[in-house]
Amino acid sequence: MTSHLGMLILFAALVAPVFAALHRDDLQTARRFAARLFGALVSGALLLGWVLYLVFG
Amino acid sequence: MAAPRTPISKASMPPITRPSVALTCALAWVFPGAGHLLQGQAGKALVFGTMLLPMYVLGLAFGGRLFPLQAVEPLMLLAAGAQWMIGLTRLVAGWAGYGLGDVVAASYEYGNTFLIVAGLLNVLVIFDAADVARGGKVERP
Repeated sequence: MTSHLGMLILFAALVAPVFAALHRDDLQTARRFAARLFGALVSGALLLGWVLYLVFG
Repeated sequence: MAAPRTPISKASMPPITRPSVALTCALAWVFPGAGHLLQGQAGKALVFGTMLLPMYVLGLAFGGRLFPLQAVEPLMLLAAGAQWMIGLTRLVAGWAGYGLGDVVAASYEYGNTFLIVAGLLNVLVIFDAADVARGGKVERP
């Protein structure tokens, strides 16, 4: 895989559940936390990418 | 005919023995999630095992490099230290000859990132397992 977006999504998908399991004990809240963290990682990276593109691109 | 039951007082019961903190940390270092499994937290152990091991393997598959523990390059030493935080996987990968690092591969840096982050995340997992072993963190039902 050489797609940057694919790598980003894969990375976020692997990291988010680990942090969720570390920070939340309840399964239901851990799932929600993992989903939110995944979204934050992906959307944050996309937003930062666009900002860098618009400023320096 | 059954014998009459005598009530058991708490004082007469043997104390609950928990696996030691050192053993828990050692197992968590050897294999992600093994420390939590030892402490009876199978769910968390499953998450750690199924996320961190594939992350490490993907890092190798992406052409990431297993850095040697040499003090010549400080950043390389830090990266190597992070990669060694998943003990058994790092050991097996090294023995098997993986992780030579495909510098020209487009995914080389991604591979390194996956390898290093998997190791660093396992450090957090080890700390968490130590907390559980000390009794400072109990799993809520």
